[in-house]
Parts: sequence; structure tokens; C-alpha cells
Amino acid sequence: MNLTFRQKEAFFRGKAAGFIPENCPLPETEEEIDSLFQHFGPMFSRIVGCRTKQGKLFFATVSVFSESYLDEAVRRLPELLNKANEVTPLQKDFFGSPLDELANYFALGHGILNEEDLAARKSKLTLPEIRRGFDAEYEPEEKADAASMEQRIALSNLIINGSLPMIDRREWENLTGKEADELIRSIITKQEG
Amino acid sequence: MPPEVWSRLPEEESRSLVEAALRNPPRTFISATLEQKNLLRSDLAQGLLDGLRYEDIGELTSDEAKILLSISEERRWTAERKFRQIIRKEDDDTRLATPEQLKQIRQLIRERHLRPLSGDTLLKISNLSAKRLIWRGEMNRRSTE
Repeated sequence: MNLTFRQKEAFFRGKAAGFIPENCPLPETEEEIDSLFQHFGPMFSRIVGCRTKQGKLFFATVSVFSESYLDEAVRRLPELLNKANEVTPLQKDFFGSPLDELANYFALGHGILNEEDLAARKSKLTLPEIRRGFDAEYEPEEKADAASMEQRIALSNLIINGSLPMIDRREWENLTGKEADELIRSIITKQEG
Repeated sequence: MPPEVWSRLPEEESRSLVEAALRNPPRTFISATLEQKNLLRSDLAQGLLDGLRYEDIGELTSDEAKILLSISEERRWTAERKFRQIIRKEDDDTRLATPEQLKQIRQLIRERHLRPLSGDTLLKISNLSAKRLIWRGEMNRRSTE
């Protein structure tokens, strides 16, 4: 099983920040992703409706380490997210996958760092240590055998016209040229038959 | 992006935009369905979606609508009205408009108290939307009398 690009980046940053041990291998199953929480403890997440300056509604996700800090972090969203001008009462708490929650945490930048929030964690990391996770230069890996733009356009057309079922993000991002070819060919064969 | 802006883009720029768009799986930003929109209108009218505006509903993606519906679903349990009343109202609001309502709307359009609607839209209109249209049409009629 492959991770999404966002999960891979969160894993990399989690290691740089010390949330995930250096020797921890990239998780390969859903269970391995779930078990990552044993390294950095459970996180608390909330999906929050925000408005831009123009009044357009959009949703942001906030994940932090302590329940008590969640309200404050949500209130501070307009400081943390350039796009957010206003926070609406449209909010919902949830528990997500540990890597997605870690991705949400890093996505809000240094501003989300809070000593009391971090004190809720099991191991005691310092703010400068955790800052490394935000500052680390991340270069997404480029797969040589990834599906080409032309193949993705062909697949998109097949999905939009209903010839192919939807593909989830994990599969789409990790799609190889060979897999894309097989999918496209399977539809052409079906149509010809 | 409007087609006229798109057609004027240099090839490099349009290619990089296509590449960026293709990072998302197809149908990621698909619009909310009519069923989702009708349910949201009902929940908003019942006070279950504090913070949402009527004008937001037309621009929502299907995933955003799902988030909003999960919020209103949670709020059904804590709302002042009873859970059963809310569900009943949702069913009533989201059922198709009656022939009588459609006739009234067509009459209001004919008399130019409402903007014209296509036949397709009229056939899909929900009871709640029909009630609102008739109310708006009648208000427009009164203001011109």
C-alpha cells in the first residue's frame, strides 16, 4: 500500500521534528499508519468552516496534541491561515488517521506551536526541536514510472464519462504508467467487445 | 477560469496548470448533488447550520456538502426541536414540488413576478424551494400593485 503525497511529507516532517523515531520505517499498511500514534500520542482534530475576505466559504482542518488547545487554535485560524478572514460556527470534531493529523498540524506552520499543547504529549520535545519539522526542506520523490500527463487526462475523461469508477487519492497519486495503460486498455477492450 | 482567459494563456502556463489540476483525482471538486443541496436548504431553514448562508449552497462541492450534512446531523440531537420533527420537516422540504405549486410558479413567471426557469429546473424543484419562489413571486406582485 502506498501513502498519499501529503502523508509522505507528514512522515518526513514528523521524523525531523522528533515525533516519529528516526529508525521507524515508512508504514505500509493501514494498521502501521494507525500504530504511529503510539509515538506521538492521540491528536485532536476539528474541521472548521472559514470565510475569505470576499466571504467565500471553505473548510480548514486543525489538528493539535491537546483537547484544551483545540479551541484556541481554531480561534486563531485567521492568524495561521492567510486565506481565512473569519471562523464560522460550522465546526465538527473528529479523530483522523495519525499521518493526516500530523499533516494538518504542519500545514498550519510555526504559528500552531504552543508549549502547553506539546506538554500534553508523552515524550518531552523542545520547541526548537519541533521547529525542525516545519523548517525541513522536503523534496517529494519523483517516480520514473509514474503515469504521464496524457495518461491521466485519458483516465480523467473515462472517469468523468462514467466508463471507469472513481479512483481514490492514494491510488491516483501513486499510479504507474503500466497501471494506467492497463486501465485504459481494459475500457477500450470492453467498448470494442 | 473563463474560456477567453484560458485560450490566451501561453502553452507553458496552460501545461503547468493542467499538471497542477491532474494532481487531484478526477471528480475531486465535483458539485454538490441536487439532493444534497435540498437537504442543506432544509437544515439551514431549520436552524441546524448556523454560519451557513443560502448563497453558499450553490457553490459547494460534494465533499463540502457531506461535511455540512454531517454537522447538521450531529446538531439534530441537540436542537430545540425534537429529532423526529426535524426528520419529518426534512422529508417534507425535500420532496418534489406539487403540480399545484408548479402551476403557481409558472403563472408568476408568466406575469413577470419571477425570473424565467427552464422546464428541467422546474421539474426538479423541491417543495421548500417552491414555497420560497412562490413567496418571493407574491412579494414581487404586491410591490408592483
